[in-house]
Amino acid sequence: MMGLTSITRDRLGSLLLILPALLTIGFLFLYPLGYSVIWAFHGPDGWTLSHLAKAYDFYSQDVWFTLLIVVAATAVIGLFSIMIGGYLTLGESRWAVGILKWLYRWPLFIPFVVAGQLMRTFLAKNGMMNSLLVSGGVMEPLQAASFLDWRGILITFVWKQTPFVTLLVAGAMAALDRSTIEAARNVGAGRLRILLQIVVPQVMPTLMTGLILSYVVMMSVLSVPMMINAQTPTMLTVDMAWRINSYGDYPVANALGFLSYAMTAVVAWAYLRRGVKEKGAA
Amino acid sequence: MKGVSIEIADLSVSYGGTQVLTGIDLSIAPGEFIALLGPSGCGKTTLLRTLAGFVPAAAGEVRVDGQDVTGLPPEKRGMAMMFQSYALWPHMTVAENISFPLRIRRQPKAMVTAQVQRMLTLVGLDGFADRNVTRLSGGQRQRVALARALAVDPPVLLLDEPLSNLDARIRLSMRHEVKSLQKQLGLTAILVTHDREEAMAMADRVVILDHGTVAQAGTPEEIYHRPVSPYVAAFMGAENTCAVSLRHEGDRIALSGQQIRGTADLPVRAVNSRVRQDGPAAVFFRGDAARIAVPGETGSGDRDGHLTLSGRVSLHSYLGNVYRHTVDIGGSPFLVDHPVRMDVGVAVDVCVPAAALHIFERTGSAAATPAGEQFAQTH
Repeated sequence: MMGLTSITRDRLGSLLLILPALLTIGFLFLYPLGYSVIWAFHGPDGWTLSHLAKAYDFYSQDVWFTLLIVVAATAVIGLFSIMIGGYLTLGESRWAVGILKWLYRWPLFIPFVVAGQLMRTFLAKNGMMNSLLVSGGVMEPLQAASFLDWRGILITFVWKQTPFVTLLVAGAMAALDRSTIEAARNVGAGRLRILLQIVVPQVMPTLMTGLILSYVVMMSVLSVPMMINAQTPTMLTVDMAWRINSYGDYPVANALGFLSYAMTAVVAWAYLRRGVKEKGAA
Repeated sequence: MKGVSIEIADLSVSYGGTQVLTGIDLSIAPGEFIALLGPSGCGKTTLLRTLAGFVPAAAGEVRVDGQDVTGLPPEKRGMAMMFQSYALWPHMTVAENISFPLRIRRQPKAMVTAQVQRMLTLVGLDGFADRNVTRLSGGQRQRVALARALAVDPPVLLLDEPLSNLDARIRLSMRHEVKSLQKQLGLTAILVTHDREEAMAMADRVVILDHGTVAQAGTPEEIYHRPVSPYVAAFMGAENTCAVSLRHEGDRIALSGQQIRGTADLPVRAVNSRVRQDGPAAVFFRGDAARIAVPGETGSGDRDGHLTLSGRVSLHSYLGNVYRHTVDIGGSPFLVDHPVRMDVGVAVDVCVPAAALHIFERTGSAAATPAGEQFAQTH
């Protein structure tokens, strides 16, 4: 009996300890989340799919636009982070590795809204990129075009999120048993093969985690599409802001939000499934 | 492929300003098994990694089968290496690990499969092809590493303390397996180890390194019985040492000293003496080559041709076949094995036959040898 009461008391103690965190998550996250899902599926006459249908009817193009941009950006970020992390791990020139290590993290410290502003001045028709290309003789002034469309969003996302994923990936690569790399060199593997067949497979879980976190962040950025791509199609975050600010139309905004969750959930589900499978195999 | 010769000429290596290897010269014959032996920090692993191409040489040359490979990257050297940590690729199965070197060389699939099977049989891992390497025991992992190294028929096999992570019983059987495989395939092999018994059991020739230079190179018998320096003698187990005064008398050597009872009169031919002149010298001997006698007891008269030291037993430990006694002689501890346990505090004589003595010139005091440093490591 003594034991039982002491266990109960222990439980109660630990519950009390985590209670503030639980309450915070509950009130500030779970409650609004649940509420917005309910809003998305609830009308004056009870449960309905009409908000979702309306959202898709108005914005189906933007749903696909958002999905394509974010998926493409995630893929490019993955590629770049593997390239940078790979060079940091396998590069032989000590000064080149040093410079790269110092340079690649910079965008991490710049907020999205500033990144958006930076890219506006860089990618515009008469922006810095085109001026440089023209003055460098690479391009005629007449050929200059604005990149302030889907390409601008993609470039900004990649520029801003690559350092984050690279930070994780390069850390995981540095933590690898070096002798697994040396063993591959020893049996005759070149640098690229070692990166793709020895290093990347071993850091795959870290890479996937970084990419999914990035995917979710990009899904929810409002400032970048707003500043860079002031046209249709655009990203869902812009549509949501528009529905709320101009029409006070919460049901449709919430339905759009639900679509964003769904796009994120698919990725999260795929990731979790992979994790379970790997645990089962190991 | 048959083994090839390796020529190391005046090789020096430094790490960020610190000289690690200095003027190493070594010729290795095709099919020879060499052990690089020495304590931590002597440069043996650096030498192996320089041969493999992972550490650049500061000066000198490495020639493999007559060809200079000093500037070649590791992937172009054709030397297979076994790592201390096995270095298996955890995301691949046993078969994928072994076939990786073959797949790099774009060999046809049927040949790869056949070769993997041959390698699995060679190292005794039939039926393990599809096993995940993370699910194997240490000994099995080491076999996979060996199979992977041998898969492309390399002419040279480099072994970086490959057995040091295995438990004692498996280590002994792996010694013989690796050695017999090396002989069977005719490979040139270079083993790095800090275990002198392993070096002697496996190698045709042992190279003892001391602070980045070769202290002695020779057959296990030469190194064991004829060490050329106090360092080698102590590393090969002759850790008992005392200061003596040496006199040559025709074909005899006379030794006297504070710790020695009377004067030892020894035939010069029997002793491994590196001293040419009369004067101060240092004597080294192994604890298992000496025996303990009780002063005044029968049989103690049989001490001609022996060096006799008198002391008291201060400690003993049981090793299974013998008792190892610590005998205090003139204030210094000596380790001596004896089949019968002697009680602590008993006065004993330690008798060392002439053939077990190594005599070197004494520079400063007798303590100026690496003997003290070795004590901790070898027992």
